[in-house]
Amino acid sequence: MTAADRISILVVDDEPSLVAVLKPVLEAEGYHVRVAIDGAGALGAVALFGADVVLLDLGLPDIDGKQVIAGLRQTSDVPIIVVSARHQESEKIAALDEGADDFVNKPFEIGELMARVRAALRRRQNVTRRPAAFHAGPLSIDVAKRRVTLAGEAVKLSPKEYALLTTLAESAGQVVTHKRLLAAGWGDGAADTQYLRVYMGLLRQKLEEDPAEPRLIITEAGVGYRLADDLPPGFA
Amino acid sequence: MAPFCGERRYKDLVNSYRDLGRSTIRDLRLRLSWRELLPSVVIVAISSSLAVWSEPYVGLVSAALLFVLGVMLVGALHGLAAALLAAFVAFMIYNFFLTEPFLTFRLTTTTDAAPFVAFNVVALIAGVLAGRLQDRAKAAQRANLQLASLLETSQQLQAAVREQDVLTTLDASAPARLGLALYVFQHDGRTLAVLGRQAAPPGVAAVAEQVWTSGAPTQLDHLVAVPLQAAQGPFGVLIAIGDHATDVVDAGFLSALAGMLALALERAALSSRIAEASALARSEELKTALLSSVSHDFRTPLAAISASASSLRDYGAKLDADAREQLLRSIVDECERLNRYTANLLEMSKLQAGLSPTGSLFDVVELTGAALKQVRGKLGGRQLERHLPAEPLLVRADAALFELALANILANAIAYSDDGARIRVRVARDGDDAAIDICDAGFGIPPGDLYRVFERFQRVARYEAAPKGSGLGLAIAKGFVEAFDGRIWAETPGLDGRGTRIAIRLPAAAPQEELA
Repeated sequence: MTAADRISILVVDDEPSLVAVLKPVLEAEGYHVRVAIDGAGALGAVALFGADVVLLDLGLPDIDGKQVIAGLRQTSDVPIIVVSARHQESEKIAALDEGADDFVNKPFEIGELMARVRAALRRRQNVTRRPAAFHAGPLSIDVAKRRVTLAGEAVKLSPKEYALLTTLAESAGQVVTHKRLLAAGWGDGAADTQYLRVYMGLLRQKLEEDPAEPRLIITEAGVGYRLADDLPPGFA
Repeated sequence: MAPFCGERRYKDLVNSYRDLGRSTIRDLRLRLSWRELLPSVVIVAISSSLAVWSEPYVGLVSAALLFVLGVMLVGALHGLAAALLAAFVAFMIYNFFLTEPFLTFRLTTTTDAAPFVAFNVVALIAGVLAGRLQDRAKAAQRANLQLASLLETSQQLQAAVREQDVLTTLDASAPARLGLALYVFQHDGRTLAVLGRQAAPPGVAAVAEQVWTSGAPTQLDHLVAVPLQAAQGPFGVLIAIGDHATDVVDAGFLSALAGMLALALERAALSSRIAEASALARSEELKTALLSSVSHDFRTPLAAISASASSLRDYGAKLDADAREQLLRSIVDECERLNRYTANLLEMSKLQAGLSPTGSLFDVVELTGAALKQVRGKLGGRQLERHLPAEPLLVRADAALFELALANILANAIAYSDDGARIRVRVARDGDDAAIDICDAGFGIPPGDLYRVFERFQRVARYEAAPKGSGLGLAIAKGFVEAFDGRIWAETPGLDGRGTRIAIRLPAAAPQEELA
């Protein structure tokens, strides 16, 4: 965990009870934890110390969490994970549109939050040096050869299916909004999500063991899709 | 509400109706008042004296013309009755002084009767013409008075918002003040029903039914009925009942009144529908606020509980003893918070639903102690001062709600003050009331929010990290206190020139009740 020692996480929440839980557990995982209790504090902390991941509550005492996202995005591309009790799709979509990377619903289990933190950190690495291959459980994508294999066997994908899958894979473990997927597949973020549903169905037919209960391409109702990245490689 | 036209004008109005109403052949009405008689006598006396005096010089015919002049004047000025009387008197004087045999009433020749006929014909013509003129004048005056009274009623109807206001205005309108009973029948799609007050006398409903079906006004001696027509179509029937109702109102006047009435009633119905809709919208708003509060205020402690418990399960081995202890404490604390929130939400829903809390006799001092015990664990370094009387102080109210309300207020005092600040709880008898004051030296409430803090889901904005309240505590306290005829208010500052004072006054139980 020597590498993790340098990773710093900013927890933005005005609930002392939750901060009191997150701080020791994140520290036990080897992260360095800073706490901000309002939006201004969060913006200041990122400006002063930087952060590798921001865990952001939307209901802050001074400004709305979405404004904090917008403020952070002006100067920083730090991964932002929204941790909120607001479960409305519109809130999530708005936060993601402002530039948040992912969200976790309150209440959550610590393992889920840790997985999201890891996914965010991984995606950050992917952005800085584009990997030649993605691996998510039994799924492998060889970007250079445009080759997709499932448990070692080649899968034939149409160009649109391939575009959607790589978009999901680039953010493996994180939610990818309908808008982003539509932009990747159809070049238009405002296109009908009906197309998306059809193509996601086709992808699931080719990749999922049981397309009715997908474990690889997970639906985030009303918001988007998430490619599961924490499946064991033997899973299929 | 100053009447547009005074009481006198109402009397004028009814008099004008009576004048015009009593006889059908209005031009030939034979009535004479003392006010008309005296000038008539003077005119006849002057014209007769002139005629008798001048006859020797100007001759009989010219003298007779002077009599005619007098009769015509009386007729023109005072009407038919006066004119006929004047004609008779003039003829008598003419006969007595100017025809042979002089100084007798005897008529000798038929030519002597000619002036009698002439005088009376002149009197008739002059009287009838004058009567017509007077009738016209009175009709015009009546029309003016009707217009004025309609205007007044219309102005009052404009201010009438509810159906009840409209009916009250109707009861103050001219026909009602002139002794007529006015009934408004409204058709609700199936039947005609009287609006407001008492039922209509027997038979009236049948007339209303008939007018409703025919759509045409009906006028009987004691009753005038007209249809009510509003913008959205036929609406009902307006009926005026009273002795000689037709003397006081006619169908035209009542129709004009009915038109205004129908519009006012229609407007009242629409505005009450708007009021209902906005009440519904408010209750929807409350439900939304309640739901979003439930989602937020339940999930926040749940998040801490779930994160703590799963951390202990997944990372227990990596955490030191202190951290594990903290996670366990957090689980217990947040469960307690959830429980308190659930209780608040439940009580709020009950108060909101209008369920009357049960009143029982309890000792304020005792339950204040219980509420203090509840919050003592959360005091931290805050200094709690108690000023409790030695004797019990009894009130009749809901004991559980009292304890909850007090615990809510105390929890606020703790949540909104720094560690080490003072909190003072004082219970005392204040006249007929039990007085409970909770003062803190915390952050206080902005003066503009002193009333709003008692509204549901109002939280005072604050920039410190602290557990957020549900925004229900003070709303419940207010709902509870007011349900038992008490008062609650907030003041600032509370203690040491800062913070808040929440004051509660509940009626203390009467001495005999205390004994019971």
